[in-house]
Amino acid sequence: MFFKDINPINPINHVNHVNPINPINRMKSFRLAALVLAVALFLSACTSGTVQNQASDTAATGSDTGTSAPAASAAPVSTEPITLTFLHVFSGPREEAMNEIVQGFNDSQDRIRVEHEMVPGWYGGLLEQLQTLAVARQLPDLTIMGLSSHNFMKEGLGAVSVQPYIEQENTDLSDFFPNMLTLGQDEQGEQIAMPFAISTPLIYVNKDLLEQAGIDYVDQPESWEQVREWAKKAAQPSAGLAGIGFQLDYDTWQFQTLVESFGGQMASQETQTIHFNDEPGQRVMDFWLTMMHEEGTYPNISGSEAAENFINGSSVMIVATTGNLVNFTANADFDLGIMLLPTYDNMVNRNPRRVPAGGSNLYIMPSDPEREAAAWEFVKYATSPEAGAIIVEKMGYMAARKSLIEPNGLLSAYMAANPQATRSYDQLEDLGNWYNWPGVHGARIDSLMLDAFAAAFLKEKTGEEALNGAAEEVRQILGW
Amino acid sequence: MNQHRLTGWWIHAILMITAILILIPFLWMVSISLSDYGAVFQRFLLIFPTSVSLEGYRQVLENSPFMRWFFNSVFVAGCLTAGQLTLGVLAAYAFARYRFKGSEPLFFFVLCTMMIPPQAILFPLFMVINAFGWVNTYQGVIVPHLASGYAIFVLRQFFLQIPRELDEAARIDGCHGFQVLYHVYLRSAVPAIISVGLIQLVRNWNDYYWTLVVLRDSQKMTLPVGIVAFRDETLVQWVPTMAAATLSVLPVLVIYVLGQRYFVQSHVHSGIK
Amino acid sequence: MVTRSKLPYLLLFPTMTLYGVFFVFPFLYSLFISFSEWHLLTGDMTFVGIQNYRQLAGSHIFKKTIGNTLMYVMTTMPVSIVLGLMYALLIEQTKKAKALYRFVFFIPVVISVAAASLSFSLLYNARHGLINQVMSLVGIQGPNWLNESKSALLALVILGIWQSFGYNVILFIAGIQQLDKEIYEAAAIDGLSPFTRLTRLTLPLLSPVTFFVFVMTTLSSFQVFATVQILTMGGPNNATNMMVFFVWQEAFKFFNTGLATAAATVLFVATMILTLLMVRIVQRKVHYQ
Repeated sequence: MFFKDINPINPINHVNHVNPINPINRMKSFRLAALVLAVALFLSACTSGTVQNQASDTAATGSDTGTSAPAASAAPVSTEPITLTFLHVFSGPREEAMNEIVQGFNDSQDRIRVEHEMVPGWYGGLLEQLQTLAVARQLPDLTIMGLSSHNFMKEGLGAVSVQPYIEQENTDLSDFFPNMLTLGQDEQGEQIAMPFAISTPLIYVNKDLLEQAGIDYVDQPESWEQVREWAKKAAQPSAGLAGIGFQLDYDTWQFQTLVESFGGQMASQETQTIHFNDEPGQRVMDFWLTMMHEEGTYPNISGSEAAENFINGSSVMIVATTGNLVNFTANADFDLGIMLLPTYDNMVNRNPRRVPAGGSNLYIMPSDPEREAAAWEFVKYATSPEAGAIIVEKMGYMAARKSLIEPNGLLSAYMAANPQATRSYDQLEDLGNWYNWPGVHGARIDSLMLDAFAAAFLKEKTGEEALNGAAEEVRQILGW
Repeated sequence: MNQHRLTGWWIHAILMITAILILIPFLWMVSISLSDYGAVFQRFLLIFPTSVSLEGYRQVLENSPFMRWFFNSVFVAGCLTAGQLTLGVLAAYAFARYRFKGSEPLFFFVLCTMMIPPQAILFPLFMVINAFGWVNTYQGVIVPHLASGYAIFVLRQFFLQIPRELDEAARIDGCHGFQVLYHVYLRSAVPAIISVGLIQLVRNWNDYYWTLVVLRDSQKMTLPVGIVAFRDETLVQWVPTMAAATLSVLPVLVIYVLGQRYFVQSHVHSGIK
Repeated sequence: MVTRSKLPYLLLFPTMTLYGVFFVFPFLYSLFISFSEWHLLTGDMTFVGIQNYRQLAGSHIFKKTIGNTLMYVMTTMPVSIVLGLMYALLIEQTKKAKALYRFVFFIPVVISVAAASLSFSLLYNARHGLINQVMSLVGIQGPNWLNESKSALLALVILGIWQSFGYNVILFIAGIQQLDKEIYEAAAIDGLSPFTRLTRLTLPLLSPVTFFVFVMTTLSSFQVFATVQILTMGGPNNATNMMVFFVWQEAFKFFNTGLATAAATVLFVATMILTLLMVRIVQRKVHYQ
């Protein structure tokens, strides 16, 4: 039936056991196959030539914007507006906020037009997209990027430093919170990018559920142990009411948060040693695993499911970014409370609290001086008080400018009406860096650490095995 | 006789239940898409929404470039299918009608391309596309898959069934190569071409992995890639997500309903003839 | 017999050129890259011999990936074939509504894997998903489908079967319709029971179709990608990471071109050997008929 017909010539050959044509046929077909292969190889030679040329082009000139730059540079600079592309990760209401900022910029002048686009998959998805576009020499003119990839943006993708523009124009940065500016600097203090939508981790609580469990609401828990006790008291695992949720879908930000609030650190580049599996890291795993396996208050679900549950009133607490503020406020029909992170071990002064900053910087990507300068114009607009107000009000992220939240600032009315929105600023003084792994391996390291957590959550490994195994792998990857 | 009718009922019962089970993912998608935002998970008899709303659809059409994706899909799937049919007819004619040096290994090669998963060369193919500067372009999506082993194979099977006498008669009448192809083969192969065309159209419409890799701008995406991107993973909005999925499936279902007999026919006639 | 005409070559030229550039060449190219370390962003390329393959062999994730893929294929394929055959026989038993059943059974094949995956991702939701809701009605606590290793792979297998078995039903129906009616009439006269007819006549006669179905289902199961990418991203802890997804992840997420091309080469060669093997078996099998 089916394969019998593959070869209509063959049946004849099978009947005539002796087949004088076949051997010759074979040889000839061989020759043709060789010919096809030769053609393919010839084509391959051509294309690989192209590849190498392109590669050397990229190496020589940095990279250009490929198809997104329509031969504008060839003609004498005309009155045609420059169109810039701008990538971000925000969808839904947060994308509308982006739209508002971009629209505001486009309306403010007629020389430059910015077109924004959302890339799915959060910072990881955006990083993947940027790398692909860099290889295809189609980098956007502007992009945001999660703070954990700050070094890679500069070293791996060649983000254009804004420092020369600041110096040239004598841009006044005094209004920015200094520790937010730091987030966009390199180790030498050069301002590579501007802080854009910054966040800190917060504990969002369902006050109604807390009250039902007879727990008094406080602004800041004394310790993570206390948080665990609350979860234990308020959750009803059998009825589908979870105690707490964490978001470990895309990155290890919350792990770092806990490690640092237990007094530890991720790693040290000076001594080239990994520290996330030291005692504080192990305590984080114990903390999670106790709640998950023994007390049943922390269900093993994705962060987006946890957020969904929290909004639906089936989780008492969730540890999440400031960036969820607007979403939670808009969708939760219970009394929403926001707590600051506890400090280390109940003893306020034993270790300074460190709160790793989350969120993103705004980067200018390499193209040509004219486009880069145009991009800088947008950066200035997007970090202006007006744009900052949109970021705070419509997205929930933090303002990078002090003046916004001052008594007479643009946001004073909003802050008065939404006292929760001020909570993040209360831990601002403790703001630290989101850990950047050296080199190009950030995505892989994040991924293998998340795998390790999952293995412990699934009881495939103990918390200690999981962390030590991950540390060993990271050590190998980094060659430490 | 009575017992026969009884087994008949049993068979129908089993088939009916299975048919419903098969449809559930689709029904569920439609049902969620019609739900009220506030009551997504309040179901009546598990699957029916308690309150119906078109809000999800409104949101899809307003907040996503859905129509853009739709036309992109029409364009990409249309070009691919037309190209695959054209090249398929030419190649199938060569394999069915002529015996030439290398016809055996070449046909075997075509069969192999049909079976070896294209995903295996996903990354190197991407680098080739990139060398041509075709990342993020429609030619990058279309050109590499213009040759379809399936189309060649099925059309050849069909051409083989056409009596040689017709062919020879046409030649005696003075037709040559391409004329024979047109007057004899193409004309009698219309049903097969429609079958292959519809099947390839649906396949091309649904393609996910290659489009995902090549098309990077959301404005350029096709429907399957677009609707997945539209799902905001940070906080999944089920109602609009399912509305987008439902809308993306409708064109294919319409084609399938209208051309149903061709879908089955193609397999009866050729696939395992 | 062999034509001297140039026409067939002309006819095949576009197709073969495309195959050369977009099928044969990428494979060779991939082979070439797999022996080097290539930093895409800087363009630096150094020859590293078999280091990538060694790294691949040492990667516990890759080992897990192969295990998962085999597990997936070995469960999806047989179930899909058996269900396909079973329902084809059942549908052919009916007199009315044949067309309706064929129509419904084929629907999953035409629905895009993207839309289907989105729907299944909510069906599998541990709290709100229909599956667990139904299970809780009969007093069973459903699994945390996509967040536990075993159930996550099972979830993908179920989706894979749902997607593929309708196609097999149609192929088997086509095969059954081709069977010679006279043999059955003779068998009826000989008084063979329906069961004997099935095992002695129908199944052996259908064996070429079965082989074809076997080949197609096996190969398409090996290609599983979209469902993984949309539903689980290979998680939890790589429990659903499979070959194609592994290549995709190494290539486009970690940008490790060496490892990605080495894995792609392994996948390509494995499927090619599998294909050739199966084609040979099938060809041999058919001759006996």
